[in-house]
Amino acid sequence: MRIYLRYLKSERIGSLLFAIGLFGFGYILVVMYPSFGKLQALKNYFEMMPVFLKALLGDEIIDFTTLKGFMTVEFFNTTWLFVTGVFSCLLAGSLVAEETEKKTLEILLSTAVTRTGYIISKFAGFLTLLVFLATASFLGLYLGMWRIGEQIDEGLMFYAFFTGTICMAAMGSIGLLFSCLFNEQRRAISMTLIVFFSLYLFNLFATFLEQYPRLKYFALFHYYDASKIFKRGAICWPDIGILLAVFTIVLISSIFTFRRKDIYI
Amino acid sequence: MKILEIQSLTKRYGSVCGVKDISFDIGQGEIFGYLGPNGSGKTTTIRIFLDFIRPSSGRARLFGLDSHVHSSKIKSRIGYVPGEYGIYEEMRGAEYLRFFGALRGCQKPPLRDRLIDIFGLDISKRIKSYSHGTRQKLAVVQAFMHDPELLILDEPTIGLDPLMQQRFYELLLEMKNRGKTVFLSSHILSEVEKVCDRVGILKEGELVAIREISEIKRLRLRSIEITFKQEVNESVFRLDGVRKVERDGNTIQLWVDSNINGILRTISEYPVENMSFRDASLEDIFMEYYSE
Repeated sequence: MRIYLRYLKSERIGSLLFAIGLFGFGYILVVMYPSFGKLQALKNYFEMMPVFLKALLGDEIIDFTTLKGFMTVEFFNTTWLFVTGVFSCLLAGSLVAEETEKKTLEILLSTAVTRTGYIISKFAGFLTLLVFLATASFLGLYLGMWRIGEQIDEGLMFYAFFTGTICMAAMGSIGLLFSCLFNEQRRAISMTLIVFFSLYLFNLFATFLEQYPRLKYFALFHYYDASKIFKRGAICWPDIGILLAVFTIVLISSIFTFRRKDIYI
Repeated sequence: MKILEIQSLTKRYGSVCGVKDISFDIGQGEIFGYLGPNGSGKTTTIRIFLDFIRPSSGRARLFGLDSHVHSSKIKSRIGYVPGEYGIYEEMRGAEYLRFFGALRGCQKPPLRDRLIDIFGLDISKRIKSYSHGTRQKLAVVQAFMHDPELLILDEPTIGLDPLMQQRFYELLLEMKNRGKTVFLSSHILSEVEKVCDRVGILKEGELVAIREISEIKRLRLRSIEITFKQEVNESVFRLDGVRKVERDGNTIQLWVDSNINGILRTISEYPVENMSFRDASLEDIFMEYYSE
């Protein structure tokens, strides 16, 4: 618990800035929506988009001129995904590697704290901050919608953030694995960022390569797609199941790696 | 009662051997000095005790428990000062001690206030403003404050001024008198000589000797420095009992461990201008092991 609380304290300022950014950006986007939504030219432009650009915006095409379509394209599948993705890479990549590099790990692990306890405490801290970011984003959108008097179903919005948070938790577990493998924080973060952008690009290619329809099932971000949730009007439990499976497997691998690791300070 | 037992401990890093086939044990209430220059394997041994690294072969047992299998149980009974470490710089001293107190399972560590007093530590300041010496004091306080049964100290006096070093030695002796066990890794021979009961000497990862300090003091080398009125060939002093001969002009230094009468007879055959006789320090003995 002490390690968990200390971690939250040490990351509070950076997380708060990310949360304020997402809250503000979400709010502004919703408030800007009425002027965008009325533009017929925008709808025409969207329909004329090449396939690979449409792939960028989601697996299942949703009307761009509706509020949920606009928010899917401008926020859920792009801005939110990138901002929380980078946040996850930065934080998860440094979870263990930072303490190894700064040489604070040795005294810490000389106490009765187990390696598993240490890693779970810190990762729980990271997950808490991820939930904080999702909550701030939700509130930003909700406040914006209240301001313009137009609504997206709160339940669906919650599902979108819920799936997105699990997806980012899975990304975070990949970062944690690198953080356990490498002793240098920068190296662990760089590797996590490379994996994040590679997975994102892989998802894009897999979505628009119609001759290989099954390829997309190997892309992590295929399982987080707000357009799918908003279009179907329901949460996609199989997607969540797969994201949770990835999260669990990589988290267990990270714990296993850290428990076996020789720690040289 | 054996607090620490090492059996045939070996740690390899690829083709390099960190420590090789080390065996020794330490009893309760003992202060054991672990001597060796940098890179001789002192820290590697400690890291195996604390389960930071795993031995390639052999095993370490602390309080009768395997250092890997029962790592958490063991660590709840020890205090540790690392040789090289980082401290959470953003914390204040008080917060740091509170944090480690909680991790060690005691909200009010019994020795905390007394140790702060002994070392004159200002815990109200942020750690980033601390000097190297003050950080070292903080590391010592966090290791001792919960009154552990075993103290594992890796070069603990580095950065402490002579007065603080003296207080630290007094603290070690007090801990010993209270039945606590201390494993003191150091390359400062005078401090080992001052506080330790036994000493293990490491050379290139191998334990070359384990001696009682009192035994070393009793058996140890003596140095005879003779300045002759004329140049004397040093080969005449290569006698029984003479371990080493060094010559600098008319001055000859002999390291002797026995046959004092025979050596004095040989010296008396030549005109002596000056002669001094002193006990070799532990450092001289240490160097002797390293010159072999």
